[in-house]
Amino acid sequence: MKTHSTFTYRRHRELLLLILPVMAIFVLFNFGPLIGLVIAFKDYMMSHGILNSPWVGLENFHRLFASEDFPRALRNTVVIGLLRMTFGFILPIVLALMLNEVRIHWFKRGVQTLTYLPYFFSWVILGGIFLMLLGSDGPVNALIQSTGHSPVNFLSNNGWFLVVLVATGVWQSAGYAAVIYLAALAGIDPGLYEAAAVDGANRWRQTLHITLPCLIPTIVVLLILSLASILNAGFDQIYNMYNPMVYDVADIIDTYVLRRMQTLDYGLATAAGLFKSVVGLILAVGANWLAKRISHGEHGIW
Amino acid sequence: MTSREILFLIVTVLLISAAVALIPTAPRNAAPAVTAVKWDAVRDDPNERLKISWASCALFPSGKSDTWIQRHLEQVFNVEFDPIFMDVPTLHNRQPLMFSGGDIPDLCWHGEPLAVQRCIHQGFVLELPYELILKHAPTYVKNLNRYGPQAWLYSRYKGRNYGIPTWASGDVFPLVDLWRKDWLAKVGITKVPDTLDEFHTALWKFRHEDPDGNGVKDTYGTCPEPWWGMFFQNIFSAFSVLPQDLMMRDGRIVWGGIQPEAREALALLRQWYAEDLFDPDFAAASASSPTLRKFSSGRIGYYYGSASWHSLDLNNPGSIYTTMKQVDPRVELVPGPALIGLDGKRHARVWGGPGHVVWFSRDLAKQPEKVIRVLKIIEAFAANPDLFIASRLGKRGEHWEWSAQRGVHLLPPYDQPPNDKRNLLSIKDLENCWGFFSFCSVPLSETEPLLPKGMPAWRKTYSDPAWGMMNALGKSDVVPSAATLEDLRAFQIKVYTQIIRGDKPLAYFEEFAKVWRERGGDALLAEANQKLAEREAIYRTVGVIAAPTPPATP
Repeated sequence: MKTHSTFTYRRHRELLLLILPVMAIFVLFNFGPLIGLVIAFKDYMMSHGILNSPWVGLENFHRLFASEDFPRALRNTVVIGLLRMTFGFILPIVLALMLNEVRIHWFKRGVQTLTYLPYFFSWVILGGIFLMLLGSDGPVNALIQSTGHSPVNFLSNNGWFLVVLVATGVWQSAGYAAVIYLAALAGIDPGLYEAAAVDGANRWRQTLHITLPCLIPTIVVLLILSLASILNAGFDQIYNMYNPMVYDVADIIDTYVLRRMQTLDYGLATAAGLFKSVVGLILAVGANWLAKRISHGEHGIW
Repeated sequence: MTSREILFLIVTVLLISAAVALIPTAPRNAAPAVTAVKWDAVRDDPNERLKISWASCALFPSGKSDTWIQRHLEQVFNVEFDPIFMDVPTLHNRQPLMFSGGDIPDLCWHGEPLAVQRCIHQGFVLELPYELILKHAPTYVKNLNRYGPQAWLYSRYKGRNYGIPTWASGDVFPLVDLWRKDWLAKVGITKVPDTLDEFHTALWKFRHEDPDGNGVKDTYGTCPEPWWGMFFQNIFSAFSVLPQDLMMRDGRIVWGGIQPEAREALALLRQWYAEDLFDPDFAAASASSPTLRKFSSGRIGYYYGSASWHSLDLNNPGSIYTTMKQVDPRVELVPGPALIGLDGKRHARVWGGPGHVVWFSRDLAKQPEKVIRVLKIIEAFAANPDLFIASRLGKRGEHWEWSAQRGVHLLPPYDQPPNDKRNLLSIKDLENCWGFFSFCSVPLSETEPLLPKGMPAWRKTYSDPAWGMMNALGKSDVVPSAATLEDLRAFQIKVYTQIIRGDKPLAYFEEFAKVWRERGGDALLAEANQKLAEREAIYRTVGVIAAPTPPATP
């Protein structure tokens, strides 16, 4: 057995060498900094360093939950994350299924490119564009006013801001997510469709009974991955679009952490980040367990 | 990895956290380690050329090294400057990360006492005893004590001094407003509004009577700046209240924002908002203010606090007047003084004399002679006004000239932005504490000969220091719990905006005042009142108040 595994390693030496740099990057930038997490339990002072700063136990966590801002940021993160997941999860599937049915090649290509395109723009640019479009003197409000209605405060009204946030977020990423489903769709055995057609199933039936079941493993994997990152409510986007008037609904854990870092309160910032990561881990493990449970061990990442 | 293993991992993490919680805790906010320098033993040899990294005031983000000013001062003081240029957002966002990476310039600058406190707590800052400043910069201290003594509180932390407070001679002048004269004329107003009623009429006509004559209802009265220091301060001042400042009332410090006068002002603003006089974008502005853009693009006709002699100078290619004239030659601008308040007098918020804080890196404990050299530099600026003027304006004949009509003005190509700031030249701030190398002022009498001939009369009409109202402590964030102030200020702006927009009823003001007190406002006020006594003690140490003469020995 042992010789067998040594042999396997030797046979794949080139591949192992190839993965080495990646592993080094992981160790250096993903595992190494984990040591710094002790700051969450310290009153971190630069002049003392990480090791010599005084321990404060769970005081940073006490301060975190006693403050007005963190519970609010936590709530907003979950709300925005859920909204984003609900809409951002279904839309790419629908988009991919629809694209899959398009038979005109150039049209399919065109739509795919157009929906994929926004993914490549940074939120610094997109944020600027949307702030301009949706401002009180922007074209959208000009259109609303020309129909005789009063202008809408898209950016300073809590409800509207959430709508804008989710809609633009989904718009930006739907094309990218659809690509993964399109790849999965391409892998479905055409024989299945042919057999169904022979049995008299129309396209709708085929979608329902062949396409969707074949997509389930991909959907489950992506669902688990997105559950783990549910607390990543989209820092880039929110940071570039929010303002103090909508802090009540748009201040998320990441923006909160950044503000604490800027006030040199590293202990509190680390505590907030650590909390977020622990919740993310629990969610990912929970989702995987659930997926396996429901599919009797067939689906799931591990 | 099985689910069981994952569960095991989580439990382990939780157990470790619990174990950490049981570790005996050190008291929080322990004073930072004191870096002791034996100042008596420090000698600064003027013949030794010292290299000083200099992250002074954040007004020159586009500044370049080796300007005429830098070389001139290097020669005078036998130093080599390593200037670090930033703007205020960079200072806020990037500097903390720079510092935590151990990259602390020898000399740093902060406008807000709270930022200084934070750096001191992190141990970045060298302690600077009062005696040292008094010994090496006596003229500077004399000026500071006379014109901006409140700034002594800005550099103090837990009973010790950590920096050089700065002061400004020109901050006693109230801001002057900017009006579109052509718009006023178009809607039939011949006199620049003086009272709240006249102000209201003008704004109403700007909104509803098409002042730009394009046939479309696309103009507003004004668009308030979102920053707390500007947010409707003109209107609140007319009600004799500073909504975001500590105010003296009957010998005690109170918060202006929860006083009944603030409520009255809100009632009026609320009515004006309902009449559609304000551009609604003011509420959604975050980092950058939309007001300048709105005014220069002809969407609003009144711009609070942005007029000055230089901004109205059509010979100055960088002035707002010149820029707007280039786009539309019909534009006419006029200055307007602060509004006449309910009591029949003009009032305006001013910063007053106290300025900012300049502090030294803790690493200078190893090279303390640099600190002495900087103290000598600021003393030289205070004692030698010509040197001060050269540090702000450069060389006469090359960078600047004087004429009776324009006063001191920059010569081409330096008068063309961004050449002025790139070369660290700034006419506008001559009387202020915004110099890159001279971060302090000199008395007004020293710079008066450089002003235009008409300036004293102009100031009497538009910007009389007698109208000024200032914070009871200079800046509110000198108190230990200043961190809560940031949150309270944001909270206040939010609630005020909600009340003005009608999202919340006016009666919500009482609820706001209650929540403000509970969220740390009361604690803040108690600390502020204690600071009064502490300030008096400092005043005695540094000579603002004469120390009591010791009783004669029998």
